Amino acid sequence: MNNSSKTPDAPAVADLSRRDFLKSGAGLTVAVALGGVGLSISKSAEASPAYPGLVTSWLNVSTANVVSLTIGTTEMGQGSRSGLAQIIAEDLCVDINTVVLLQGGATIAYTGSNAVSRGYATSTGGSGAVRNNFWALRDAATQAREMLVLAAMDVTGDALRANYATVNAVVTYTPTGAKYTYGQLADAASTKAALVTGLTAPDTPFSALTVIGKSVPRADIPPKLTGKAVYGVDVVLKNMVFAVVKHCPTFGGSLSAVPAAPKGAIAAVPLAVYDFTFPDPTKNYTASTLLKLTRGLEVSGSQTAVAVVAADTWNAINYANALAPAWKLPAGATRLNDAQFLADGNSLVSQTTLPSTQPGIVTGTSVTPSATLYTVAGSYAATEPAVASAGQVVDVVYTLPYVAHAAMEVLSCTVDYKPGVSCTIYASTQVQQNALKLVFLLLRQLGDTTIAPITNGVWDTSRIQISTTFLGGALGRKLEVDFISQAVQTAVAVAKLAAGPRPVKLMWTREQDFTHDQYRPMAVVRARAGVNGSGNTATIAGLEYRVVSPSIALQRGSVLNTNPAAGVVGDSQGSEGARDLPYAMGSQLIEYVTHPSQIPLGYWRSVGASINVFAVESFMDELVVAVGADPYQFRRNQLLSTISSGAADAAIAQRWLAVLDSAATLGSWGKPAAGNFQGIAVGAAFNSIIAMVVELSATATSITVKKVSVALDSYLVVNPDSAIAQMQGGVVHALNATLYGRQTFVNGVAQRANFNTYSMIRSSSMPDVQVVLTQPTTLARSSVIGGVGELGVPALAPAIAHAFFKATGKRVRSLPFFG
Amino acid sequence: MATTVTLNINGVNRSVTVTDVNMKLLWVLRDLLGLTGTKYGCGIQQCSACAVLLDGQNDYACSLAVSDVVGRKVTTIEGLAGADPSSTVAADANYVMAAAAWQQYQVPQCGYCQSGMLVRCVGAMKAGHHGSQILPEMPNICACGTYARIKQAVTNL
Repeated sequence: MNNSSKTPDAPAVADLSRRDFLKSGAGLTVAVALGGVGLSISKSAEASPAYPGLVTSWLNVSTANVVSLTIGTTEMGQGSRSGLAQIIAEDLCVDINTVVLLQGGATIAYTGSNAVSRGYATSTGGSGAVRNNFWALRDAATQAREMLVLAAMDVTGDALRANYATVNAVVTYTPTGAKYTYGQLADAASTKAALVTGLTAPDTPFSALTVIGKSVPRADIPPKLTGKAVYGVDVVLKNMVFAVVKHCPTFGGSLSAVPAAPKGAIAAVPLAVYDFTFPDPTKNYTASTLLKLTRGLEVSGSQTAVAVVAADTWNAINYANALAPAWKLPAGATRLNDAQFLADGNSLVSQTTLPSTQPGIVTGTSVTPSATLYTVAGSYAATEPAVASAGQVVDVVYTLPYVAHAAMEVLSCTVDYKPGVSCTIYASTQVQQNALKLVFLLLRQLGDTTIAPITNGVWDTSRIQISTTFLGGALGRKLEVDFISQAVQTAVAVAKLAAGPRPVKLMWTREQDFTHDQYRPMAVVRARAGVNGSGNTATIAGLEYRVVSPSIALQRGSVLNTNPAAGVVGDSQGSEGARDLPYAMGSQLIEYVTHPSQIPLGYWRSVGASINVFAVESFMDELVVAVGADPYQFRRNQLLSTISSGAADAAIAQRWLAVLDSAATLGSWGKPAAGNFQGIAVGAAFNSIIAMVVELSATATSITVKKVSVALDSYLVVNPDSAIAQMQGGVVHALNATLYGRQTFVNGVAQRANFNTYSMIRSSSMPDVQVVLTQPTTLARSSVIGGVGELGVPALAPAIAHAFFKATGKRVRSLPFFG
Repeated sequence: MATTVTLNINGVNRSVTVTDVNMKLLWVLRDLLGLTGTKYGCGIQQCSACAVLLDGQNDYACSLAVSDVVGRKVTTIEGLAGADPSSTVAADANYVMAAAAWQQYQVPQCGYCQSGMLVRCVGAMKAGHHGSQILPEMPNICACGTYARIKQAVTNL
């Protein structure tokens, strides 16, 4: 068995849950007997001061010679589970196919930036699963390997390290050829921890790596071919009942009265919005103080939905469809219209009085309609004269819509609530720690006094379990815990029925998923620049860039930063992809304005970069057209200017240039097939740089993307085949959004409810995608590893927009193209 | 009114009691028989996540009523894979070829749509389609964007 110690936060039941998943064929790992305890790398040295007893192994070499790794990250298709196993296999010198992967449970105590690699599930997002855990895993594997060698030295009596080789889970004493399996050494090795404290993995020439950087088959694929992989919506528990959610169609609306359960249904449960802040766990909070205003017009505690509970999903859907509760609508809902969003955005983006009153970094200024301007970089006073005096001024506006996540698995959570005993949550979630906090606070809020209050900063979550299933796509939507809250509320209500507690599986229909998403924010962007000269050598004298977009962070109760010394001013995602551009642009003014729309917002694959890279790179192409240049050469020259100037961002400009050149070469820039047209774009996000060349044919009303040539510099790629899959998938995600992706609103009611009105591309529209990846010469700890999963998205739309312009003469400044 | 019917699922007659013979096959499979490999994606024949074979031909479990399938043969992804615990029918030969290609090209990402992808691929193969002819028979939606790998995987089928 997995050798977790029993502690307040990691009780034995956590391991039972893991084993249950093994038995149930969840496919998260290979079901094998792990053998005796043996050697383990534990969290003991890293435990929070509030949890002195917290000791649980996360990397284990058992006496049966089985290496197991308890992983805290969520597998949602990005392949990071196998990537993490590769890192272990490299430094522990074991066959990657023998590494047993276990899904970690959730804990409150762990908050470190590397927490997800330490066996506890916290959260997975920001393209961070591999890069944020890379060196912690290499170090752990290195320490474990050296502990095993130390044990072998005890056997041979020879302490000369050079006399030992570690290959395929065997320590070989080279003078005699004697071999000792890791399993044979594991118990003795477990006493050597003190001798390897602080030992770290070395910087390594890339050519010397044997597993990292090599394509390996993903361990999660086989169960996904037989129907046996268990997603959140597939959890089956004995005596389970089925719940389907019906929200008020209007955002911010709430029940006038709780409807009676339809005849034949088990229950109709009113569902309130309980969105808790997720605070410092060392403080003594009570649940009621954590309620807050949330999600635009929604008020915490108000009943915005009903769960209809029945004996199966079919009946639950029918009862929910037939239910017609009376709703109270919020006054502000009439402002939630597409035309209003655009009018407000256009007003805010074009108010010329704004910049003229904002010399330098000035923030917090109220404008009309209610909004706040944040100057992210530069000043109007410095930039405007450079722009105004240039040979040509280009001044255009781009608009982007609200976009739905549309993950294929709808939101679903199963709750096995036994009042006073336990509450087990099975969910497709990216945020296990937030889910655990939510459930803990919510159960107390709903009157379960057997859940202990927070005492001396300690949250006793021992009765609560978060079990992570496979995720049927997430794309950012499963960073939210709304559906988990609803499932817990339903389970608590069901437990109070005469029949007593029963497990509840709660599911959203596709219609609820589309119409009650937390959408990628809409945006209106104005870009204004002065250019001098003509052709490829034309220069940019100055850029004024303003993005007007609702703030995700602000809607969630954050206070936006106004101090440049403390980080990005405004919502950092609001200007992601627009600030810190390494092009030589003269003076730059970058502004972010909070748009007042109160549509619920969320993090959608690539987040802010999906907005700003479209606007910035489309604008570069408009400058190209204005001066009669080539899109590739013009970008190249702006980067070369930065490099030759020796500016602070010269090194970044060099990397952009390399990526741009790679994509141009791969995509045969300037030599499209007959009848085809090309576009090129480059951008950065999550510490990585992406460039794409698109080749397409088009008419005024149709686009056929033929080929996308992708170059990615993420510093290091652990599994190249997985990274290529992410680029291919990113292209599809971006193609959906570029061509069709848009949610529309009338008086606070989302209009597009299923795939018949919210189009997605099919395999017949899939372009050929070629990918070139960058790897380091020497893998160095001092370098920053970038993200991969979201990088395939931002550069596609502007490259398509330019190719479409070349094909049709029409410049598309408003996404999507069709829809 | 509750009705008990016999359905042939993966070569085995299964007795199920439904409240209504209009109940869709998808929910019979998932909720009553525990065969969760067939997925819900849209409920309106748009995404093909619920693909099953009905008498060997591609169909939509989300839209087939119980009354539509009585007396006919339903095959799910578990049946094709020889992985239905209630059935002793071996894996389908076309499925074995398709699944091997899916493994070779590392097709799935999140994998949620892949049951439906494989079912429709096998249905197309059974209908006599080969290689790139299979693709038009697979209008399934994949939000991860595995289409590039699917195009590769069907090439030699």
